[in-house]
Amino acid sequence: MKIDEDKCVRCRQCMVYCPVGAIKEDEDTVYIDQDLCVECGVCLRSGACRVGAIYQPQLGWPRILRAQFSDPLVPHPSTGIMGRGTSEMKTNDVTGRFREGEVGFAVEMGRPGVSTSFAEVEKVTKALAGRVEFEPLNPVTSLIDPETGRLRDPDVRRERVLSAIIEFKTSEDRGLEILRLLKEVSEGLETVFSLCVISRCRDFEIPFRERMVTAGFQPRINGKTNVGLGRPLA
Amino acid sequence: MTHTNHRRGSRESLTKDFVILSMIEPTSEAQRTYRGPLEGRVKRFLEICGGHGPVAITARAGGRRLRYLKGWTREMDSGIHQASTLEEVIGCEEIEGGVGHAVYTDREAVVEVLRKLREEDLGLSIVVSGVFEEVFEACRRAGLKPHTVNMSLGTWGRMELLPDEPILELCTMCGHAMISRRLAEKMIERVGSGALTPEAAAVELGKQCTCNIFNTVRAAEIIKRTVAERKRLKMINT
Repeated sequence: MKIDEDKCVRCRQCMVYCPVGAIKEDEDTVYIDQDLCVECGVCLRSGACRVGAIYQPQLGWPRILRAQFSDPLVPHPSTGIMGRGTSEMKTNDVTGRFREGEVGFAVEMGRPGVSTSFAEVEKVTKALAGRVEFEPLNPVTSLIDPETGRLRDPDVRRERVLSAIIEFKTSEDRGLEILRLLKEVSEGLETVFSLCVISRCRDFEIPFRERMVTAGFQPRINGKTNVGLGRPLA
Repeated sequence: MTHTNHRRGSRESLTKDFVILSMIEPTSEAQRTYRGPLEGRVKRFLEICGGHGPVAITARAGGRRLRYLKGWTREMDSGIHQASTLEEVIGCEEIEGGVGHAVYTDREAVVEVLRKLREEDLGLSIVVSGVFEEVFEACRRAGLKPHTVNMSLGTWGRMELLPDEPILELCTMCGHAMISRRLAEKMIERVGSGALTPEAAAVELGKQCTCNIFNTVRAAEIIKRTVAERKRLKMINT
């Protein structure tokens, strides 16, 4: 995003709408810090600018990734759907993507509202490579070599996005080991991540939840439940 | 698309916050065609959800999103954000895709929606976000068993980068982080100064969440509570 200096009347109304604080001012101008801007489109969509000074310039590679990962109204080319991830457990009743005895993870880098560079994403994918099965349809997976976790294009590292979801699965038996690894990796990050753990239910029990609690990982009281109404069932 | 996960708040506050999502697996032709045209089944999903007092409900239709959000009236429209009435959303004839959302504050409404969805066997995958104990109880009463859960292990890493808890409670109701912490602060300030009602402030925040999964009723309560708490602290410190 950019601000047309000739149109801008310096009312500053747009500044509070930016999720990452990229709209700044100096003595003469209000401008968008191009390093911080994640191209999410919130400022433009908000209507905060009454004179139409905010505009979306054409984005080339690799900056286009910012919009693809940050703006939920932009479909991601690797999935064809809007948003930053896949249908994960939301359609698990139909896909069987996560079977009994398996546990899924979604490490959402930069969430909530902090943002992340892909250099930070790569720190996590490198640590996980060789230990987990990356989700093949996920937008982050499309950017990395799953064997090493390295970004295929090093120029991507400096790009910033509101968040990027690393999705993968492993066996329940290895799930706790992965949680410990993520704990270790999180201590060397310059950002935050929000962590999802996906598990099949047995009647009204969540067996992996008990294993996590016993190991000292406490899930929050709220989350998402697929209620098994999708058809045909996997 | 974990956007309804990681909502923060106290147990008391979160027990007044449910999101029901319908979705189909894009790669499953069998789910797309199960028991007739998909669009008709999503329309029926929206009709069912719309009949039980949602705080928010969304339809994807004609290349845009029709958004009903409690408290949002047309004079509050701005930018691309345009309010729809509940009737416009559930009466929409141009439904696209398998995605629909509705937000509730009341478990009883969730029970009734789930019971009706089970009876009608629309074949859509249905996900309910909320406090697990509440959602599981709703499943029991609707005659359903939970299939798969997505649990939040919270936020890890540089926690000092996060804003204060009330701001997080507001901002995490948009999982795509479209709601700026600065806007949340400004809305609390404006309510505190009497320039805005908590309900109007909640709508201004909710408008930014283009998926329309923001709970304006809960947000107004958070804003009121935060304004009162800040006033109390100010009095103590003066």
